[in-house]
Amino acid sequence: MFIFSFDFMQRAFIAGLITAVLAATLGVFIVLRRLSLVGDSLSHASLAGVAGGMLLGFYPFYGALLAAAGAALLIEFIRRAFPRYAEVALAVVMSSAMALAVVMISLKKAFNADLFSYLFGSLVAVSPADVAVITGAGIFILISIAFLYRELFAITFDEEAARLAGIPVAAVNIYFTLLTALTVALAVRVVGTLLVSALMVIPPAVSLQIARSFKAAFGIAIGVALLAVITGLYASFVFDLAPGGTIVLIASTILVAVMVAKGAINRWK
Amino acid sequence: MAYPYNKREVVRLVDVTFAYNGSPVLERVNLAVEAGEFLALIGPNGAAKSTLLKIMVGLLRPKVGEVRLFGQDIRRFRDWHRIGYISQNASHINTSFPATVAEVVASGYYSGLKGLFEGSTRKRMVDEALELAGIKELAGRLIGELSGGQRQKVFLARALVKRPAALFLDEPTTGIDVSSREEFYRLLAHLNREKGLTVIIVTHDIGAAFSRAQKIGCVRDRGVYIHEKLSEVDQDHIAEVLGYRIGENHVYL
Repeated sequence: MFIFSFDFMQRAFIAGLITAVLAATLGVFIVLRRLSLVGDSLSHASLAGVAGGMLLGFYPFYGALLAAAGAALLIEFIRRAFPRYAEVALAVVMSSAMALAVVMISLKKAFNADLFSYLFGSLVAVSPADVAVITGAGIFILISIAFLYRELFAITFDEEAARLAGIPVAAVNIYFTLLTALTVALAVRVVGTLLVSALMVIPPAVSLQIARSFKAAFGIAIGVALLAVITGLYASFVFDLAPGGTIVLIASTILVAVMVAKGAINRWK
Repeated sequence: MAYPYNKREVVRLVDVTFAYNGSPVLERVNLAVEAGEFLALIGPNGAAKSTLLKIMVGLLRPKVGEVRLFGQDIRRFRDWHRIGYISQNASHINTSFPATVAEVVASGYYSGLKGLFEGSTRKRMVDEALELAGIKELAGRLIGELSGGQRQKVFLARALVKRPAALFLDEPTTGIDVSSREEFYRLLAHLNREKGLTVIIVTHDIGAAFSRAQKIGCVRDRGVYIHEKLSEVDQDHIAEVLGYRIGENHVYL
């Protein structure tokens, strides 16, 4: 595998594989809770954080993380003010964050290659510092999910029943939203802000088509995400394509193929 | 004002008033249910039956009045393993949710951090609950593939998995065929008589309620009226719940 002779490809693969596992794992809960647009809102917020980091001269990942976490809490706050219109909170945060990002980019008066890499993902842009942060934070997120698995399953399936089982639902929800914000901030480096939510939604959507248990749903979603990232990164290197777009297109193709195959099998039965 | 606590008391409401957007739906409600009782709450649509049940288990908090579960103030109640609850929404689950029956039942058993180290205990309790609800053979099936009647038994098993002392059910047989409904009520009556489980159920199935429950609670006019005999229940109220008056041509199911 000659592509691994390049240091930047090794880093891109490590970051990509960790991102795939994280996005797919959290994505299963996000999709089943009908919060698919949360990933979109948080990724737009993280773009504002990246622009802020570039404008003020600090590591853009920290900006992305702070902005995504702040947006996650803001969504919860606005949602309480509009309990019957949950999507209002997502639309307000997404458009405001995008507006903030555009204003900050215009203040710097530069739409440079680095910013472009955060929008659509980049192979060469993953630095050793990025890999260290993605690995450390990734392990933390996976341990958190392993500890909270039973609580998250119960809340996702039936929030009312979870509350009466004694689960501290509000606290678990806020913690999960912050984990989602952290995952979005990490994933931005590889797939870019505009496509990160697709990586959180498409692999779980594939798993919903074929999984025969909740645990299997995780296995399938992670498998699809890994397959999309590995083939996507490889194709983007060979054909000089934007990695984020390539990864998401491959994941979408897998989803369509599974849906068509399932439909054909059902008709044949 | 303090009241003497009867140790057999499962739930007690003292002068409870509850309002939605300033309009009271329950006013100065007083109610006590003792261990081992089977209470059916009936009433027309919009009479606040489900609201009353949710107040009992703490899902809704009244601004006025006192609610006690097993003698404890509901605001400080933490013994959630002592109650099981089946909500009205249970029949409207997402049928594409990729969970097996065993996974759903296990979600009813929660013991905090301790739960991380008691996988075998949880498995044993899930097996027992499946057995009790008579659905052991469904353990590996997807929840979305089951019939309405089978699904309700899964939710019953989820409510039973922590071995509760009292079961609260909110219209659990909505949308279920007559024979499954009958079987479900038989199971509840068995759990009440043989296992001593306290049952409080909101229902429109007046026939089933009257044949199994020891007490009938009529929820109307923002209050609850408890009757111990079928003959005590106001026929006008039954007609209001059923939508027709029981005559010679109608029999209880």
